[in-house]
Amino acid sequence: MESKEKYRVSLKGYLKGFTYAKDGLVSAYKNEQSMTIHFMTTVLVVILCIVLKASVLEWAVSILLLGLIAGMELINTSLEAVIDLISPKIHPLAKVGKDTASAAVAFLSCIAFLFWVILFGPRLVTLILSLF
Amino acid sequence: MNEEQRKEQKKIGIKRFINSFRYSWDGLKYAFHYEQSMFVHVLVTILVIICGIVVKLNTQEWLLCIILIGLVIATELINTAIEAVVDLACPKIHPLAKTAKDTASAAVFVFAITAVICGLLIFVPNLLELL
Repeated sequence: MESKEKYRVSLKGYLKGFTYAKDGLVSAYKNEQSMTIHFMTTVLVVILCIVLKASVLEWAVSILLLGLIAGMELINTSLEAVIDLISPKIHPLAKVGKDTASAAVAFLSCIAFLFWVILFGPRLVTLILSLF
Repeated sequence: MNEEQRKEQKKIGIKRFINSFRYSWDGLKYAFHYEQSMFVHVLVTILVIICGIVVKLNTQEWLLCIILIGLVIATELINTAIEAVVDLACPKIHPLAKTAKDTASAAVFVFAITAVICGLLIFVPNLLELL
């Protein structure tokens, strides 16, 4: 790919990118169990936002975090596929690659969880206490 | 390079720091030149900044906009990197290669959709106020 020819901008090529994205989403949901967990988390957070009557900004940040985790999981899936492609046998660098990608997703999930606890914690506690 | 060469390579130092900027700039130029969606994303960024100035967002909303813009562009660059790695590993067509490229595209798509939803949540109330 060293040639400097200008990549022709085409609508068909742009739309094809969406077909690939759809394929990626479908394959990720079928093959990765972590995506189902994430889907349940999404539903839970949405319910929480509706019940606690979050402001528009809080809705936006919650959706941002959910999208962030989903996208990062997809990147993790992609990196795992790439590593399996390069070296199907066990190799220390392959372990480094897969571990760091998983660590990225885990770190992000922890941060998001912390964020939601800080955001919704007090209001949830007062809501539950007011029921009794 | 193999494991021993990687361990010998210096991990920190001013030269590596300066080189990282140069490599990042090369990467930006490459992505902008070869990826057509990068061009669209930068266009949308400029549009969002102009809209933000016109609608007069407050500080919190500006912060969210900045995060969204950075996120989408960074993910697009990671997508370009993964495509380059896949092409490097296996120039022929291979099911795992398709999985890798597709999931990377899906990641960019998810981030873009998230950014659009959050952007609408930020801008629509402000636009309704303006009218």
